[in-house]
Amino acid sequence: MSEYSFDGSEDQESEDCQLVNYAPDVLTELVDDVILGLCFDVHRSCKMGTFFVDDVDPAELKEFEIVDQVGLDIFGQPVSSKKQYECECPNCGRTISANRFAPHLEKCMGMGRNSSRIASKRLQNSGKCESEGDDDDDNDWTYGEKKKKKKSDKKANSPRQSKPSKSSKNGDISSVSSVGSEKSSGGYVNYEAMTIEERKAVLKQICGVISEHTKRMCTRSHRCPQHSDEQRRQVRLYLLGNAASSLLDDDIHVDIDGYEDSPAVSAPSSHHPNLPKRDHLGRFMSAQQVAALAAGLPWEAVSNSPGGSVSSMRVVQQWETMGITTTGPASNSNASASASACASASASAGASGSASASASAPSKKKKSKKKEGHTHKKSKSKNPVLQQYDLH
Amino acid sequence: MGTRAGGSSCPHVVALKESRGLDTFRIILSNFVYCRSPRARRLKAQSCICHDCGTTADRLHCCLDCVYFGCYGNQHIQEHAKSHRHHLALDLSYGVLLCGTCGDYVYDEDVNKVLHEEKYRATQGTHANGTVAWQPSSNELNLLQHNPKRRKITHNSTIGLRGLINLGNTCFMNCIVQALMHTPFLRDFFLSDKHECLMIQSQNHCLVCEMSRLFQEFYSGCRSPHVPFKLLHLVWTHARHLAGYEQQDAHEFFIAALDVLHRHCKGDTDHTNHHNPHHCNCIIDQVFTGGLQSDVTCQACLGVSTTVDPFWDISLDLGTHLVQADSQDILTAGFLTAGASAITNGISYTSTSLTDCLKRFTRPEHLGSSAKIKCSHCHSYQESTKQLTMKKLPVVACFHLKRFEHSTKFRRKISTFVSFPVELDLTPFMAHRRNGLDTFSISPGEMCPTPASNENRYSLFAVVNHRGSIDSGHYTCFIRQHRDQWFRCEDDIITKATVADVVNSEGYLLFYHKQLVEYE
Repeated sequence: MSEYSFDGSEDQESEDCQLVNYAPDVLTELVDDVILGLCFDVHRSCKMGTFFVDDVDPAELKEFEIVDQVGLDIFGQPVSSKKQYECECPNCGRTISANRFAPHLEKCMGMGRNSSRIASKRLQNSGKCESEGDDDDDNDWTYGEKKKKKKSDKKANSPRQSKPSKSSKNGDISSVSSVGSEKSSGGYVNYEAMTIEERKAVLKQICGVISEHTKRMCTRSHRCPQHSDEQRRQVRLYLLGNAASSLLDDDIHVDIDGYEDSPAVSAPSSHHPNLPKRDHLGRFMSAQQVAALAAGLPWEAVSNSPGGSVSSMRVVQQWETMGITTTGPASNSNASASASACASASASAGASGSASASASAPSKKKKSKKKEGHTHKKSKSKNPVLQQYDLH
Repeated sequence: MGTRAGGSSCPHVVALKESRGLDTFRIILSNFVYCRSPRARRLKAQSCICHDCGTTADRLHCCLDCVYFGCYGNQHIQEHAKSHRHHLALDLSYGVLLCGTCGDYVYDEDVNKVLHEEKYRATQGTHANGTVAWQPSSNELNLLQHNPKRRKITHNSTIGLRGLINLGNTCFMNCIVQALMHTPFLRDFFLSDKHECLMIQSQNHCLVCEMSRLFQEFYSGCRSPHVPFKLLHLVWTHARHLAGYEQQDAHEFFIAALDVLHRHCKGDTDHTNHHNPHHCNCIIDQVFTGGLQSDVTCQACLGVSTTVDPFWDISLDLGTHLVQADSQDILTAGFLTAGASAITNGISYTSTSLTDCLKRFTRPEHLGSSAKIKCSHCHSYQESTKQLTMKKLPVVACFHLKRFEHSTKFRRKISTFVSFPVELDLTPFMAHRRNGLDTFSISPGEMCPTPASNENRYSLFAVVNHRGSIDSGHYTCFIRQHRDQWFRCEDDIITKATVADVVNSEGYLLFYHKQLVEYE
């Protein structure tokens, strides 16, 4: 580049003009430099013997060329080919057609409406306290449902339905879950291999009648319409032998988890002999009812037993000892109505208003405390209903 | 010209190495070829001149035996080599050795090694920090020689594209997976095997590993569609709220997938820190996380309180100007038929553009008298304005057009046409420009000039579209590959598309990639 000098007296514009004159030279130098670099690269790779690295087989190139024709995709395959693909389910190991994989996985993982998740969970928890297994599940479902609903409310822009119909999925114990004959993990009961104790625990929760065709137990609840109570009794006799009679007595009594840690409630302790017994649905039973059950009578007969008014009075008394006020002299229907509302916590139609809500409050509180680790106040406040909803 | 690997040193180079070693060579390199400091560069500019003719261009060389600079074009360096018997000279542009006596440039393994090291050192502290071109090692050369069949990803190659089977209403997942597979940053990260799985206890459950495997599948050259059943299972396991066989929202899936990937990048041991995006350096955060600045200005004292929140996507309202008011509001699902007429007779907004939506998003809004905020400056409850601007731009910006409306009375899909550009400049929506200003009430001449903001330019690379109604529909997507080619992906069918197809589509999720990415 030829030398240049700045004459201080010249204008800024003139200087800029001078510089502009050199711009093509600068550009040429830069371009030359780049070309030189490329030449060296090629020269070096030739001399060093690495030039072949860049070579590509032309046949391969052709094979992977993009196809751009109507009716064909980029791979050259026709658009309307109906090829079936299969895959292996990571949960159960079965080979499923790919197009049906999602619904299969939903059932397999126990997430769908008709899956046997609740039933299998029940069976898995058969070693522990039963109500924990049952109601935990129900609560789990309810809680999860509420959480989901809140989520979809916030997320106001998805095309997904807000699924109000899902509330029917809530853990109604009497809801029909599919027969546990699906081969999902823990979906069916291998009663042959179980000990007496295990069988007892299992039979406390499910119908248990063994199907002649599949030789499997029915995993529905005790109110399963497909089988009669007589069948259930027979199965228990068959599986438990002499221990069956004790089963019928003991299993009726279901632990009320709400009792233990609600000190404000003047409830008798769990070791108190006068502890009111509950049936499998959590309903309070009178002494007559308990006796009726022991005799192997079906539930319907038990709940409508004569001496209803006496039993209902008993029920009312029991409620009052718990600190729950009922609305007045309870007739038979009233008592059972309020009692049943108390039982299925989530499905409470609010029939007896505060009575049912406050009765369910202790159980709900305990469960949520266990599950969520909430540090909520233990004292039974004046408004247990509100407190319960605060947790959510 | 020798062709065996390892170079073809001429005897003069060998002699040099034996007698003096390569120190002189290295000194010349570091001072005059690959300068490490501005001072060295100045020195080079001043002293690199041919001693014979005074030219500064024309391929200058430096003699290795004495202090002499000579140019090549005028034969000065060649003459010097002959007359002084100084065989070796060094090209001052690239450091390549010229053997004047042999008459050609020569290469030697040791010499190359020194060259490479000096080159590397020179890039330290500059934008090209430490990046040098790949040179095959002798092992690699051996392998390559013995395996002549090679696949090259040319501009016309299908490698990198693959269909995904619909597993049953999973088109939303397929579209998001396609968009992620064609994110250049992610592709480079996974194909260079940078993921180290930290999920020690449950490596089978790592979604990031599954993603890595997906990339392998996509670049395997296999032409049959991939069945992403494992991915579905993993997503359902880790994002329970999405699980279930029903139609889902692609945007929800995108956010959930990013969340799970982000968590899995940290591994399964540390649970305490999993939601701390400010301190996370995982690939997901590097690529997708941006910062949204929220400025609340008190109307009384004009004090501004600022917060910056991380974001993975921007959800944009489409506008509030109704066009048709004659048709009925589309009520709940029971009312809606699957027929197209129900959609076209629905309410739509005036057609708008992405920039309009962004303007609306970043404009200051009055919070109203019912939402008075306690100002920390003047300590009184005052009305205020709130403005959202972008503080930190992510490498990949995802824009979500809010087409699905869930209000108390009705749920509907808004099918308004929203035009979006292929190239987008986000400078007008950034924080430093917009604070407290409604920039569009100021005339362009008054705006303070900013330096050329190439760093805020984005290119569109994926568009996810939804066809159908709010209750049922189908997702398809357009993705960009090989720089300027677009492809339409509908589950397992991939076809070529044009830019016009893309830009005229409805658009639901728009993915933009930063054009210039800086090294840190």
